[in-house]
Amino acid sequence: MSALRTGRSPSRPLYGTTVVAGIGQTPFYKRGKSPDSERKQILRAIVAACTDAGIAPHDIDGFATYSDDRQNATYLMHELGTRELRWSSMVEGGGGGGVPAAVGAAAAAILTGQAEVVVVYRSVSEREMGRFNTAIESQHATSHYTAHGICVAAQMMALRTQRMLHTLGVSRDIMEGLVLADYFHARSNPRATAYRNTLDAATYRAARWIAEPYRLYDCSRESDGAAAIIVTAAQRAQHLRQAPVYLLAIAQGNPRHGGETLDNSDDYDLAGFGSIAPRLWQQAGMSAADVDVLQVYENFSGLGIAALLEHGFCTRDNISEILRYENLIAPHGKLPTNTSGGCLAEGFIHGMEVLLEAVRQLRGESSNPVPGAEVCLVTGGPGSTYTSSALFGTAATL
Amino acid sequence: MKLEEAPTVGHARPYPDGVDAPYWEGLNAGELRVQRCQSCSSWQWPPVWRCPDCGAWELAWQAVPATGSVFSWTRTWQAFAPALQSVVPFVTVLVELPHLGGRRLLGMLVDDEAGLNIGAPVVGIIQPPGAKNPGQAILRWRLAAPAG
Repeated sequence: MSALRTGRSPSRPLYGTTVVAGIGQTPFYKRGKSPDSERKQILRAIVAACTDAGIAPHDIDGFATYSDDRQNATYLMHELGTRELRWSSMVEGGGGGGVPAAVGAAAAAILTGQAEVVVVYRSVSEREMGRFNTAIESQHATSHYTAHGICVAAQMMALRTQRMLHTLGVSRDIMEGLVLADYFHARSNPRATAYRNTLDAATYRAARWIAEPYRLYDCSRESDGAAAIIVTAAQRAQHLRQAPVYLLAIAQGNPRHGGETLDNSDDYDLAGFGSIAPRLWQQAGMSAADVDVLQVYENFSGLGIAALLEHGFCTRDNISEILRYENLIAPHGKLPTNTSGGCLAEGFIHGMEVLLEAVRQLRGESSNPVPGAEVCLVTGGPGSTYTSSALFGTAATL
Repeated sequence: MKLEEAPTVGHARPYPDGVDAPYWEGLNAGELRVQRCQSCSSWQWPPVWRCPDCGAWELAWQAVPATGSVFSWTRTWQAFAPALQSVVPFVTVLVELPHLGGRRLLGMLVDDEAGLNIGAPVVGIIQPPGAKNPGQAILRWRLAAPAG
């Protein structure tokens, strides 16, 4: 941990001034197999988060979500018995780039006095709503993609990772450590879809191609499920049922020439965090060296690798050495990453799963705890048209 | 795959606001047309209503050579749409066009894949409307013949 850490300060209005009060989720179902509709699922997750926080559902006065979630506050408030709705926000952009940004929106509402108890949420039920891919593609896979055979995110992201392997001068082996670390962590996580799955290197390497350079295990399967977290002001921390987990910093957006570019962005070989990561570290008064544990949204393994590079956990020169499997596993790896299995091995609710694991780690409740962990990074959907990252910390970081 | 086998998934059409309509019309006329700012001469792709480089509102479409090099590529092994079943596995290339300031265009690769690599030179070939791509000509790419 860096001696440069400065802690709470009047010049850092976001640092340590809001907390995650509670978390809740449904199980991860196979896609299309949830017994509940999207709205019933999210109600279950929100109520579970309220129980975890020790608050009543009707106390929620703000809603923050992302990526065109179809369940918005104007529907949910009725069934939650919301006493007064004071905030509702949506982070735009395809994919799950907005997971950390939605937490940032909740914090912004609270710190400006517009709301007090904000739920950040996401729900997916493909039985009801069709493949997630369909929703994404209807917006993003226009004729400029489909006329060329590009229909799904896996293909779009494969093009980017193919370019990354070229600019880094590495083979697709670079992705293996992260995938195997995910599956290693999932093995001890009863919630994970890959719980007790004994994926090994040989199986990973021989799996069928999806879109080169991605094979089967490089791509996240879609899950049904819903998850929610409750965010409140830090002053309420002493009243919480659980150990408080503080938001320390959030950065979001795109660098110049980003957004919807039909593959003409400047950082095409990476994941879109080039301008976000430096802002995040500056906001927190930290660097990558201060992070004890990482939750990296990696629904496509190569983009998870790119996210790690862009956040400064390695350089283009030492990436192969740093991102080896041994470094990525808890409890003793130098960079314990995706300690509940990540999108690839735990389940995929568009990044809520990595957010919830960040909270569990810092509470000491992870299936793969990192002893003494105080700072956890969460990165949003890599390669999304809009993305974000956040840092969370225990009370020791204040 | 051969040029005449290349499928289009769905109906190729402009954006609802039509900002890219001249591109699609150009292909139907047998040309690759790309937008150019009338003020600063920058090439623009994706198509825009306003030049991001100089802020001008006047942009015009110009026919350009369809040549470039492979910036990236992927070979798709799964038929993500029924129209693709006849061609999987197939290659899609992202082509960088140096005479367009490095703007990049996607396209399916037709004919021989030997020599496919990032940096390989490619030539665009326009597939006229047909049974596999009804109603709209589509720009495909083939690897350029290797230098003697």
